[in-house]
Amino acid sequence: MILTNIEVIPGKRVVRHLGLVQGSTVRAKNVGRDIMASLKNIVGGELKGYTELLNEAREEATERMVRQAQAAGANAVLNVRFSTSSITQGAAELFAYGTAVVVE
Amino acid sequence: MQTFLAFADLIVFAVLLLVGYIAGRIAERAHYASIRKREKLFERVTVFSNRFPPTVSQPFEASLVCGSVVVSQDYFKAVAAGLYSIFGGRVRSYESLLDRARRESVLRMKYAAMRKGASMIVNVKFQTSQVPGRGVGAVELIAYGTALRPVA
Amino acid sequence: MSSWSNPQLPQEEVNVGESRPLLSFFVMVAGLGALILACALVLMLFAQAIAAWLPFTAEQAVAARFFKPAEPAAEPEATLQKLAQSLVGPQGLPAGMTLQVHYSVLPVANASATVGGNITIYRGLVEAIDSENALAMVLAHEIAHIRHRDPVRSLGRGMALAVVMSAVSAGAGSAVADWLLGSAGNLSVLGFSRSQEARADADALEAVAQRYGHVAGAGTFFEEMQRRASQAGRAAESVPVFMRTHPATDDRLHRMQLLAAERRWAAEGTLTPLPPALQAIRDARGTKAPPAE
Repeated sequence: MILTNIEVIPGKRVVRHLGLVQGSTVRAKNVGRDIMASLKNIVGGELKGYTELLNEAREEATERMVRQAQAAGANAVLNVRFSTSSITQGAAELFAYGTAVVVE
Repeated sequence: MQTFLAFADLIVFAVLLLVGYIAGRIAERAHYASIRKREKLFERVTVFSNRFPPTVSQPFEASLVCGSVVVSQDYFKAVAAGLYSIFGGRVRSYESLLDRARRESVLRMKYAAMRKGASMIVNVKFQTSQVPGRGVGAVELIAYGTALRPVA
Repeated sequence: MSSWSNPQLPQEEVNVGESRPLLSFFVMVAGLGALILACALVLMLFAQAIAAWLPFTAEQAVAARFFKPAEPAAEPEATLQKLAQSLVGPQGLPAGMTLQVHYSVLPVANASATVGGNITIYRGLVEAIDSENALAMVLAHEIAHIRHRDPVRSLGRGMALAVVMSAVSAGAGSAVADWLLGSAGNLSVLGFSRSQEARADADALEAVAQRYGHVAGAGTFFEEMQRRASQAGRAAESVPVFMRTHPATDDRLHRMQLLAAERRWAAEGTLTPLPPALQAIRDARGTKAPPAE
């Protein structure tokens, strides 16, 4: 499965467009991580725990999108976009979407 | 009676939880059925996240279309989400909620495009935002794109 | 030329995690319950430890507000008070600590110690013993609880539980608090741990040995309770109250004998008769309605 965030795959021709595919997941961080993060907030810097958590969640969203593309019969997803949004206190949605296509 | 009053808060909580669970469950099932039906109905409107239609040579008439929906969780989902936020991990109770809402927003966008006689929507983008307000757990989902109507 | 279409995606919902909402909900509730329980235990242990540092005057203030002896009767109280003072021993009570002995006409065969140095002896107990030595043992046992601040420790533990419960539900929290400080003078049902009971027994036996020069008759009340319990059989509601609040009497008698042998306290001696005021109660037992026990 080829993923790009441009609209073409250079050197390859799109044979068929299969429309929109999307993958999303909602994740919560646990209280322990929250406490560590609020401590880290005093000195600033990267919140490794959160980076890890969001990365993992984004991977899962991407993977779900890919599964949908596979189900549609695609072999590439073009123009992939990510969005992260807060749903409620403590829960965030990671969302990935793109256009499923069949390339040569 | 005395003990009933003493634990009134727990009983109210349990009743809300039960009502939320049952009502939410029924609503979710009905909504999924309706989504599947309409997805089939609007099948001929194709949506792409690409900026340009697959065939640039054909003349099109373009117009902006938008579909939006504001969803709120039921009491059971909210309590479950509160528990998930203690232990961490995948908030399963919200995943189905957002999946439903996003598909609903796409369907509304497709409906708007269909009314304009369009056959495809390109450059589709999504936006999710929390609706501000005290004590109301609500999220707005918007799908928007450019509807293209083939000019004969 | 490329073609395009939006194929119908399969029914599988990739964006919805495999979900058993009720199961995961109950698993999390159970987890949260365990967390709260652990919190409660830690808090209770902590409260129990720090309650002993509470000044005795504060304990008395609590008792003054919430403790009411059940069905008190004035006449034998002075006799009991005098006997209690004589059992305090040469080293006396810690500074500022005072004892207040109450007599209750309730027919339960029991004695209790609670916050503020309040001891209650019930009519049923007086009727169950035949010598001052046996009564002294029970009184000294309750005095030992007070000396070691056992009641206030239990109260602290109970209040910690009430605090944790009120975090769960306002109703449950106030129910626990009500039960502790309730209008029924429930301060007396605070339970003591087994080690607290054993320590009180040892101290009491020592006080009795010092006062009378021997420990004869000290176990009379426990023996009587044991006899009644075995008579009552397995029917839980007919087991004397004393056995429910002071478990494993067999064990206690045995430990008392061991301690007496070790410390070389005489096991034999002349029993001192009950003071007249108490003997009168004992003599009158047949004429009143038979006790519920």
